[in-house]
This record gives sequence, structure tokens and C-alpha cells, in this order.
Amino acid sequence: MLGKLIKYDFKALKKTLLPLCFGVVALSVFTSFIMKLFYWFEESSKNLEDALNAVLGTALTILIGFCFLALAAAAFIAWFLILSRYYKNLFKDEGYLTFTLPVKTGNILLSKLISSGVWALITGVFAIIGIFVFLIFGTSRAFVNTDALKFFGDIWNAYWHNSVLTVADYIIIPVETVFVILCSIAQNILLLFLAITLGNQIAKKHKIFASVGMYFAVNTIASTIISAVLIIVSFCFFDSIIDSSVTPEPTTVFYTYMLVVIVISALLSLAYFFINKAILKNHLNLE
Amino acid sequence: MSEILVCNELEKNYSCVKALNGVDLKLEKGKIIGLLGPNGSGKTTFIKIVAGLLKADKGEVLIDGEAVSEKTKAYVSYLPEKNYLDDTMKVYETLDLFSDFYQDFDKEVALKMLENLDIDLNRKYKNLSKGMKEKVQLVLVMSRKAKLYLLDEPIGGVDPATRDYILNTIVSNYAPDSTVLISTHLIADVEKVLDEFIFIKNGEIVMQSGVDSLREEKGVSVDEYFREVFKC
Repeated sequence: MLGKLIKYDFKALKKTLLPLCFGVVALSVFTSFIMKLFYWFEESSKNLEDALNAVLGTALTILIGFCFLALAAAAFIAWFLILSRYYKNLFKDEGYLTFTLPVKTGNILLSKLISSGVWALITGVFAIIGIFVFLIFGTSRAFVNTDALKFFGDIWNAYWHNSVLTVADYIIIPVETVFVILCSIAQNILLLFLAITLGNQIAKKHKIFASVGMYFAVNTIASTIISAVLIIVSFCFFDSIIDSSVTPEPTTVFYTYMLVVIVISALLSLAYFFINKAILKNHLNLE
Repeated sequence: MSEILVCNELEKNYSCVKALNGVDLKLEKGKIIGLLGPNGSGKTTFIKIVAGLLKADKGEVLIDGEAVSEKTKAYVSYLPEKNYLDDTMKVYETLDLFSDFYQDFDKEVALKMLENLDIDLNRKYKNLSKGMKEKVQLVLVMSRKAKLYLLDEPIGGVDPATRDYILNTIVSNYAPDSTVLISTHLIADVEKVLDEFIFIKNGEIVMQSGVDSLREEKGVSVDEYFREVFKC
């Protein structure tokens, strides 16, 4: 049943998020085109009347500003659409079907997490493509920004032709990075889901405001716990460094830090998941 | 076991309001039963608890001997007052959804009923009229071979012709050993299809009886008796 739930959640998110993904790339191409127009205008404006020059220049600047705003807003829109699906499908009229399906509450939540997580990644990839398109095509007077290409090439070479990193490092770094990304996405999604559930359980009216309040409340509690754990871990870690005569490799410090981030994210994700599941299973009140 | 639904001392409060107050109820298999009461009497609250959408504050609900869970949801077919389908879906997609999740869903029966209603399967649910939406939901719910059907106000807010269609669909589609619980305050319309009725008032069951026995004993219809009991 989990597979079927994911299928329907994924399809529902696709309807709204796929156009947004293509919209972001299209907007990047459009912004790059406007930038080219702006550069061309800058060069040729010397021959224009002052008044016309000022109007066209202002218009182009406003348009570029609007494009950047729209690109930044796309990230918020993506999160809004993901959370809106969760809210509508569980706590609005669609909830009457969702909670009468013969499926376990944990599976409903897991399906929402997986489909939302995959779509958060997909929109992230499209956003990176959009930024890349803009940096390569929209930031120089030439058709392609060769400096930007060289910059990316240098980063690539610095990573792969590095005398400090060992073969093991080349395996551990990508694996830990992938886990950090996945755990962070899961943690953020589950925190937002929990906030919506709590907001709906607690408030009779203004449930969205209550959910926002719950987000800050849960986040503050979690941050306090994390800070306390990190302080204790740091003390233990530095104590062991002070005690030992060997200075740890920078990569060891980096791996330990990444590992702590993964463990904390995973533990928080589990806590958010099981609290949410318990509320939905034992205290559901769909009014 | 001849009972499909047993409720013991069911209680539900909304803030200071008692929506259900010690409901004891037994519904037998193979009957069409009307859950009748004025607005705010607790009909929807009761049905939602049995469907698993609300948690009772006190008491017990057993469906075919089991407490409400994902297991009972597999053989309870619930029709809410609201449109509970994703309105961006096309009609044929809603059939696939029911087919995927409910093993007792008969897609052929649903297709035939939709064809009789002349509903285009490729139309989006949100583009259907209110009456059509209610019919599609009813077709989906009644195309299941469920043990217990919970129909919450299935004829509220539709025209008399649609009411007749809905009631005919209910009568002609439920299996002989299934039980149909219809909640409504439009008693005159449903009376003709009922075997039994339950009067609910202020969250309490005030009467449970057979339609025929009421006629024999009191010489009145359920509608007439309802007006007498719930006189303002």
C-alpha cells in the first residue's frame, strides 16, 4: 500500500511542481536574455537621447529585479506547494478519503515524506540548473561567460587532482554529503509536517497561524536540545584531542562534524515522525 | 455474529458541547437503516467515529467484532457530506484510485453506472456540476462490496430526480448481507427504502425500531412520527 500512496502523492505534486521547475529554467533563460539586452543597451545608449536612455535603462533594471525576485520566490512557492498538499490531503476535505483508506497512518506520513523529499530534490536540481544557466549566459557581454566556466573547472580540478585527499576520502566525502542532504531535507519536511499537524490539533480557528507558531516553538525546542548535545560532544571531542599527543587530520575533523550533523538530523527526523504519527493515529479529529 | 456494528457508551465532546452522550447501539447485518435526527443531533459525529475520522472520548466501537482500524476501513464504505476527491483528478483516475486501494471495489460496476449517467471519464472532477460530483462519489462508494456502508446526508442539497437516482443506486447495489446506514433529516424521501430507523437527539439515541413495526404499532409513517418526537 505504501507504493500506491507514494504513486498518488507523487502524481499530485507533479501537477504543480513540474511546471514550476520548467518555469524556473525558462525564467533563467529569460533573465539571461534581458541581461544581454541590458549590456547591449549600455553600449549603444550613448547615441540615444538622455530622456529615452533613462526610461529604457530604468525599465530594464526593474525587469531584471523582477526576474531575480521571481527566481527567489520560486523556492518559497515550491515549499508552499509541498506543504499545501500535506495540509489539504490530511486536514481539509480530502482528508475524509485519506483517513478512510485501509492503510496505516505511518504509511500515509511516510508516503508524504518520500514524495515531498523527492520533489524537493527535483526542484533543487532545476534551481541549480537555472542558476548555472544564468551564471554562464547572463553574466557577461560575450555569449558565454568563460570566466565562470573556468571558475567551475578550477573547483572540479582542485577536488579531483588533490594531493591531500586519499582514495577513501573520495568515497567518504560524497557519501556523507548525500546523507547530510537527505537527512536535512527529511528533518525540515518532517518539522514542517509536525507543525501543521500540531497547529490543526490545537487551534479551532486560524489553523495556519497556529501552524506557523508551532513551527517556531518546535524549532526552538529542537535547537536548544541540539545546542546542548553539541556542547557536550564538543567538550568530549576537544578533551580527547588535548589528551592525545596526535593532532587529528583536518579531514577527520570534517568527517566527525558531518557525522554529528547526520546523526542529529536523523534523530530529530525520527522524533518528528513518531510524534506526528502518534497524534494522527490517536488524536485525529477531522472536523 | 449477526451484528455488523456495536457501540457501547460512546461519548464525544466538542469543547463544552456534548455531541454524543452515552450512545449504545447494535446494527444487524443485511439492513438499510436510517440515522435520523435534526441538525446538530450528532449524526455526523457518530458516523465519523465509526469511519475512523474522529476519536471518541469514551466508549467502544466494534465493526464486525473489531475495533476501528485500517483493517475495518477495508470493509467500510464511507460517503461524507463533502467532496473528498482531489478535484484536479479526472473521473477515470478516481476509479483507478478506488481500484488500487479497495480490494472490494468493482470497477466494471462503476464504469457501467457512470456510463448510464453519461459522465465523461476524461472530465476533471472540478469541472463537474455539484450534482454530478455527488453522483460520482456515490458511484465509487456503492461500487464496493463492503460489509458496512456509511452514507452521511447522501441526498442533501440535490434535486428530487437526483435523490431518486441516489436512493435507487443504494437499494440496487448493496449486497444482501451488507448493512447500509443512511444519515439524513429528509425522512420522507428515504423512508421508502428503510428497514429500520434510529432517532438521535442531542447526542442520545431516543428510539431504534423497524419501519414496518412502527406502522403496525402506531399507525404512522416514520416521517410523521419524527415530526411528533422532534416537535419544536
